[in-house]
Amino acid sequence: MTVKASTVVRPRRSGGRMSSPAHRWIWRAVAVFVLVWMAAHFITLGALKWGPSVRHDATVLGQMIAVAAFPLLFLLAFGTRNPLRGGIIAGAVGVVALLAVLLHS
Amino acid sequence: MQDTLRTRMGWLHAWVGFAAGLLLFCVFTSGCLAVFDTELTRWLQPEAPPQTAAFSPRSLDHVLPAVHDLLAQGEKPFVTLPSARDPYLRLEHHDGHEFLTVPYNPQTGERLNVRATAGGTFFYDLHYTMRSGVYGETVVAFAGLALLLTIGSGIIIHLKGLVSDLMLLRPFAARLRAWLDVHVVAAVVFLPFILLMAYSGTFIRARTLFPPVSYLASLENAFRVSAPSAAHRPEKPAVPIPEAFPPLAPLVAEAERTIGAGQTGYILFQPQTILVSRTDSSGPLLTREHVDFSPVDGHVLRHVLLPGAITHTEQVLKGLHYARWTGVGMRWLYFLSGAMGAVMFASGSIIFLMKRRRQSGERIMFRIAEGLAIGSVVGLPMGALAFFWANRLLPISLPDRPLAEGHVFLAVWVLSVVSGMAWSLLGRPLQGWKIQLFCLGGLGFFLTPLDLATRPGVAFFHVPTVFAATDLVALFLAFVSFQMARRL
Repeated sequence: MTVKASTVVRPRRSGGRMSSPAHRWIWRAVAVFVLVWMAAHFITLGALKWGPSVRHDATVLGQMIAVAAFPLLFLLAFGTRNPLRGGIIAGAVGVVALLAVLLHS
Repeated sequence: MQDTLRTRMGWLHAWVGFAAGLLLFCVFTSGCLAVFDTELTRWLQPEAPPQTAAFSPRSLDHVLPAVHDLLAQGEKPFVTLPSARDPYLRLEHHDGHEFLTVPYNPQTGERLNVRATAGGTFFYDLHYTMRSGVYGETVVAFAGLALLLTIGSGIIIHLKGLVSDLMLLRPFAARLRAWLDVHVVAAVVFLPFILLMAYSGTFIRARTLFPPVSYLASLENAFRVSAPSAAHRPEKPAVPIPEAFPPLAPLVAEAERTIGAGQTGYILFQPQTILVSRTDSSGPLLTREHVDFSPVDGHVLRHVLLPGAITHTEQVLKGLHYARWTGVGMRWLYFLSGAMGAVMFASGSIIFLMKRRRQSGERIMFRIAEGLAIGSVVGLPMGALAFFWANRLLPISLPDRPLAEGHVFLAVWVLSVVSGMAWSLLGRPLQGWKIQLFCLGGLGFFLTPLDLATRPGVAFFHVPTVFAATDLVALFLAFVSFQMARRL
C-alpha cells in the first residue's frame, strides 16, 4: 500500500504511551457505530411523524432512508481525519433526527 | 501503520469484511440456489414426469379435501397454479422452515405420488434465516449492513484503479496477487448486482434492525411484570372452517377479470377468506395484488392493491431481489452474479488470512478463523451437495423426511467446520483445505451417476433440463474443487 509523504500524520501521544492506529480505530469504530445506529433508529421513528400519513408507507420510507444512511454516515464519520469531527457529524445527524421525532406535531 | 483515509478504510474493509464475509458467503451461495428453488424442487421430486398435460381449472377442486385437512391442522395452505417454470398444480404450506409442496396433475387434479422433500425452498430459508428463525434473520440483516459498509470502504480503497482493475487478472502470478485479482475482478464487474442485492436484501429485513418502535418502549415491555389478571378474558373462539368450499374455477375466472387474464398465481385459503393472488412472474413489481372471496358461497369480498409511490418502490426492490418475474436467462445471470459474489467473499477471506499468516499464524485466534473459513467456504457447498445426496438415498417411507434432509445438510456442514478447525489447530490448515476440497469434488462429481441411478424412468431423450442443469453445475463445482485442491 503506497501513501504519499504529505499525507503522513504523526501518531498522537497519550500519557506518554503511543497507541497503534488499529487500537484507536477499534474504539473509534465502536463510537461511530453507536452514534450512527441511533441516528438510523431515530430516522425510522421520525418517519412515522414527518413521513406519509399511511403508517405502512411511513415505516417503509423510514427504513429505506435508514438502511441507505447507515453505511454512508458510518463511512463519512469514520473517514474524517479528526475523530472528533466524525463524531460531531454523526451526532448532529442523530440529534436532528431525534428532534424530528420529539418536535414534529 | 499510518493514519490515512486509505489505511482506515483498508482496516475497516478487512475486519468488517472478514467478520461478516464468511456468513455472507453462505447467504450468497444459498441465494444462488434459491433463485432456482422451483426447478430444484423438481430435481428433488424425480417421480414427477418432466412433461405434463395442460392446466384445466376444474382440477383445482380435487385439491380441496387436502386443503381442508391442512386448515383443520391450523396451517395456511395455498395452491400454486401451473406456470412456465413449473407445469404442476402444487399444494403448499409453510412448516416453520420451508414451503412443503405436493404436486397434482394440472389436468385431472390427481395427486402425484412423489417423495416428501424440503425442496428448493430449503435454500430460500437458509438464505435469509440460516434456519434460525427471527434471530437468524436479524443476524443476516446485520450482515447485510456490514456488506454495505464493506462495499463502500472497498470502493474508496480501489477508487483510483477501479477501471484498470477491471481488466486485470493474473492467475499465474504470485499467490496473494492472483487471489487479489480474483477478488477485485469479481467485486468490480458484479458491483451493481452486489450493491443492489445488499441494499434490497437489508431493506427487506429492515424490520428486524430498525423496527418502527422505540427501543426504550421495547425494553420496557420486555421487563414489565405482567399483572395477574383478575378477570380471566375468555379465549377468542376459533374461526370455524367451512364444511365445503365453493368450486374454484369460477373464482379464478372472476379474479382474472380484475387482475388480468393469466395473471393469477396463488390461491391462499383461510377460514374466513379465499385469496386469489397475482402471480409473482407478472412483472418486476411484486404487488401480491389479490381478490378475496367468501369461502362459504364464493362471492367477492374485496380487491386489495396497495397504491402509492413508496409502496411501488418497495415492490420494485422486492421484485428485483426475488427475481421471480425473470425468464431463464435472467435467472442464470442472477445465479452467475450471486456465485461471483460468493467468490468475492471467499477470496477476500483467503486474502485476509494470507496477509496475516506470517505475523499471526501461530495465534490461536488465527487458527480458529482459518478453521471457520474452511468450514464456510468448502463446508457449505459440501452440505448443499449432501442435501441432494440425502434426498436420493434416504428411504422414501422415512417419517419426517424433509427434516431428515435438513439434518444431513447440517451434520455435514458441522462436520466440515469441526474437521477444518481440527486441521487448523494442529497447524496443518493446507491439509484441511485439500481434504475438504477433494470431498467436495467427489460429492459433486458423483451426483450425476447418483441422479441417473436413482431417478425413476430416466431417459436421455426427453426434456431433462432441470436434471441436466443441476448435474452439470455439480460437475463444474467438482472440476473447480479438484483444480483448487491440486494447485494448493
